Amino acid sequence: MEDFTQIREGILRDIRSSVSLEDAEDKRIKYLSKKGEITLLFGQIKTIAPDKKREFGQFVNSLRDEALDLINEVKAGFSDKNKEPIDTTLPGRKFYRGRYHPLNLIKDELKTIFGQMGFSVATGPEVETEYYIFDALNMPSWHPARKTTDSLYVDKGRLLRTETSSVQIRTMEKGKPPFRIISPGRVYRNEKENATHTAMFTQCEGLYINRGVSFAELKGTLKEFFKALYGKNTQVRFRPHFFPFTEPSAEVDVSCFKCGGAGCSLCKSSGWLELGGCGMVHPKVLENVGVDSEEFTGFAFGLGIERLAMLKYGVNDIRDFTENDLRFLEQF
Amino acid sequence: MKISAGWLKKYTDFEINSENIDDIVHKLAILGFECESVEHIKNSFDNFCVGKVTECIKHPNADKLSLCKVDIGAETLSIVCGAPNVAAGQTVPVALVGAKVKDFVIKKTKIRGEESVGMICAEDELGLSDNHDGIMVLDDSYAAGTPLKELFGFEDTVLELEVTANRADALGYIGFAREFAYLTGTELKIPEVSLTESAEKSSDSVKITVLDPAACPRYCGRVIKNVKVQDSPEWLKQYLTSVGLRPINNVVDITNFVMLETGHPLHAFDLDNVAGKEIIVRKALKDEKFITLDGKGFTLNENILMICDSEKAVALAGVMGGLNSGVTQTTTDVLLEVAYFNLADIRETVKLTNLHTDSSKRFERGIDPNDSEYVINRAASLIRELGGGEILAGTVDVYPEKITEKSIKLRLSRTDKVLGFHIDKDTIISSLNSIGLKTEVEDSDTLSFTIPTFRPDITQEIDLIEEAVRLYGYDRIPEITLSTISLAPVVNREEKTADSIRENLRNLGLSETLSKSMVDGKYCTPFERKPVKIGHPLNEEMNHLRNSIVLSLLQTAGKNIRRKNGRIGIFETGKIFFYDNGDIREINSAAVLLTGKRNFQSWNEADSDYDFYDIKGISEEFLSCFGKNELVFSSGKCPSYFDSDASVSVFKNGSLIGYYGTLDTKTLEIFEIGQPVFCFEFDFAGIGHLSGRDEFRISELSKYPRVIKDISVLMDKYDNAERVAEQIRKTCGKLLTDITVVDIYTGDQIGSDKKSYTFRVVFQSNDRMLKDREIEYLLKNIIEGLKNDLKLEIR
Ligand SMILES: [Zn+2]
Repeated sequence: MEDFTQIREGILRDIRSSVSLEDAEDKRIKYLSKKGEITLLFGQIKTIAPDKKREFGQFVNSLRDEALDLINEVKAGFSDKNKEPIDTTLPGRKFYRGRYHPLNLIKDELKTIFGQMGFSVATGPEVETEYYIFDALNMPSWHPARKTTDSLYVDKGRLLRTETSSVQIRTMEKGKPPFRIISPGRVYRNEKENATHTAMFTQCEGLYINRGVSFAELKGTLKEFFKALYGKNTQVRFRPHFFPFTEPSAEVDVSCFKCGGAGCSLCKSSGWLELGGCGMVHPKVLENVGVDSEEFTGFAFGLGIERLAMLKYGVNDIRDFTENDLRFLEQF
Repeated sequence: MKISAGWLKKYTDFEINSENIDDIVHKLAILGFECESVEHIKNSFDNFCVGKVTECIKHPNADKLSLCKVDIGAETLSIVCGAPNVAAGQTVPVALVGAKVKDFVIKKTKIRGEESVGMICAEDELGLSDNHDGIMVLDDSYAAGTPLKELFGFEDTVLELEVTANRADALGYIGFAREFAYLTGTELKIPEVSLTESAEKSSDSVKITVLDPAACPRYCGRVIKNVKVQDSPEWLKQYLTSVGLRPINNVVDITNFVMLETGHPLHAFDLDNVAGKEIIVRKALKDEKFITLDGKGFTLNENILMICDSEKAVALAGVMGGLNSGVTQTTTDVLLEVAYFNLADIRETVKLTNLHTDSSKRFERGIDPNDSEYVINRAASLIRELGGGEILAGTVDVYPEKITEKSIKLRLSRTDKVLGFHIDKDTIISSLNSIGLKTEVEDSDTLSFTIPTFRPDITQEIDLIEEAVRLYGYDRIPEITLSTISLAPVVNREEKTADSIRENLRNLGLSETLSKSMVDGKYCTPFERKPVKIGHPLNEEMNHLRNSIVLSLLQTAGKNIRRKNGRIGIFETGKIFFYDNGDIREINSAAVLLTGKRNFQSWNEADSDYDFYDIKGISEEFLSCFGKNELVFSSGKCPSYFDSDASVSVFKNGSLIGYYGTLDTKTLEIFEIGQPVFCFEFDFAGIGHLSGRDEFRISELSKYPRVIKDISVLMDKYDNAERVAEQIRKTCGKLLTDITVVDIYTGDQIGSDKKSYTFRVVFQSNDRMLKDREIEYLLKNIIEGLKNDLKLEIR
């Protein structure tokens, strides 16, 4: 009878070792289905000596009952009959998160990157005097920006700032160099509105004045900035330009982040995106705020936040930013 | 500025072609001339040839048509022609079958019953000019059958270049070619002028008086007599049309040509129309009237510089000529004007008249006073070449004070300092020399440059540094980052406050909006601050600056409601503007707006709308971000755009910090909003003051269990919860750790003027287990207090 005991224990051990409901069901099939191992034992009764037949029959019967009970017991351990079924495909309860405005997303990103590069945020009034917008910035009296047809005058001598450069002047007036600031903020132009122009838009200008600040460092700084914004393979190209308040001046092109410079629809197949203007602060501007232009040099740059956002998110109409259609805002 | 590649090669030895064009465009951009467009112009006149009209008779069925036989060499064609000037014996351009004239293709056809194979063309039909007065008659020397391509065929590339405001010199081919020659390493070629003068002197034919030499430092005049004014030759017409100018007649075209070539505008008068044969340059009188050649009338003032004859004004100096003074087909004697006007005076005229002409554009930026001699002689010799006549001897040149070349010093050490890298001294010298500056070496560090008068933009050392690096190549500037001094960041409190407000409100599920600062004044009226009007607004929808952030939020809400965006939970931070004792003040402000759906229906959620308690909950949770101090609420006392019965002012540390509640329906009407709107407006500066300053310590967590009890109180319909809660707090002291309202009942059972609130109170002690009888005692006290002190009934 030793054989019987060993068979029995082997089978029961195997059933007990089931690791899941499915596993236990597999064991039932293995032992108790039509071709299961225990079922097949009944067929072996023919080969048993007549005097042992009865004993063998009892053994197989009781083994079958025992195995079935054990399987059910094991199965019960894996499933909880009191549990209600959960339809995991029903919609979840709706939660709403507050969305960033896309211009703020870009502005925050600029604040972070420039912040890590040591630039502090400076702010200033949006209704400004002509002195801070034009005179202090070496803007000649004939410059078109001074005309009411180009700028939005509130009254005589006061207008909505056309550049945030006024903030730079105010910052330099108040303190002593070195200065390292960015001045993100709204600027205004008397400009007919269309898909690419609005009378109000957002600029982020930067200023760094110190001993030994150079044009090459301006290029390096902007390159580092654009690498942080668009990825480490980004290239920067300077083109000569003219601004009254900087000299030398440049327009800044950045290798297209979409095609990497190969040319695509975004960059109008040029491989470059024009993203801002910059230059070395004009000695006259420094003198206007009492900074010794022989001892100190510095650079300034300006970026259009709407333009960065339009390129980054594929916004084709600049007016969408102030429309505040929630279907637009909820995409960010 | 449009530059024709075909013409440019006359001034340098470099030819732009399809292989180098991309490279040239790139290099021009790096030199400071960004190319806005590249246009390829090609007209090969396929299926056009020269024909001889051998016979011309009237069309039998139409008065105005002629039947022509036209010999085109290989054969003779029958062509019906409608031009009045067609005649036998003419040599004419013929469009053959298959030729494309304007937008249609020539086919064999019948016109009023007569066969017509081809077409005799007018100039406009060939695209040579706008002239449609009659068919074009060619020189008889051309043989019949000669392809028209040999006469008029051309191919050109036109670059549209951006020239920066400081570079008037580059608004002429010669000036631009000087840069282009440097770029391509070729030689600049300036056309030579050879002048054949007659014995008669210009000065005997015209007298020139400059009354305002400050405004007009130089005025040159030259007379050419017996000129035949006629159409310009093809090359000149083509030169002008390639850059977008319309050919008029040879004299006018030459003045335009020389202006494009030299960058120096010039003007031609019909000498017979110059009264007294005298030119007087003076300022206009106050209210003097003037009509320009395009027929526009202006009322002038004493700042406007005029060119006059002895009787009348004939031109707005440097901007535009007057009616009837220009050169026409009947002109025989021409007075050429080449002047140099003060930049600021020209700008005055442009500002007054808003006339931006090719001439004013150049004078405004500053042209070369010292090329006048060359310019006037170049024009005079061309007039003689193309229109005959006699050039009178000498130029009448009024130039009392010669404008001389200035000399500016450049320190190499300074150049290195500004640029941050070294450009070799010899490189600087040779590049600046090649654009016309002359050098003298002063010492090992200092170079002295003589600045030609065609570069008035170079006035100081920094301008020379810019030119040096521009010619060196902006693409070769190294990118360095060597800032060794690290500056401690300066905290911008306003910006930090705004960021903190934005973050906390986003965390409450609200979305940021950003609206225009400029609004229609009608929206400012509900808000108490006196709005700022814009003196020169873009349009009436933007004639004021916003005096409230709630204003912007309501505009946004209105738009979104109309677009059926159902759930509107938004906030905005930004500047508002107002008058404060006559001064314009601008402050940062922030507000929240809720309207529409709080939830949309789902299988486990009912559809629900925002209500007063949403804005209340948001306000309280938001304010709790800025310190633990108790908030004090007070009904009413809110601005008038809030509903006085459903709004609350909030005080913190004794000062007013904001308002929240339902907006007044009259205000909503102004914004065309017909549904309830809830707002929370708070004091930006006040929040900034609280932020980060409210230090606190955590409260100890009790080890003993809480006991929770509900008490239902029957109250008057108009009574409020806070009165009861206050009484309960007073009764229980610090054993009460929380109190809230868990149920409200109204109904017939208790009468229509009553309501029942169920308060849930939580008791807990930090130092002991509360005993049952302690609780019973507290409850008894609460109930008695409510009954005796507040006269309320307990249910
Ligand atoms: Zn691209």
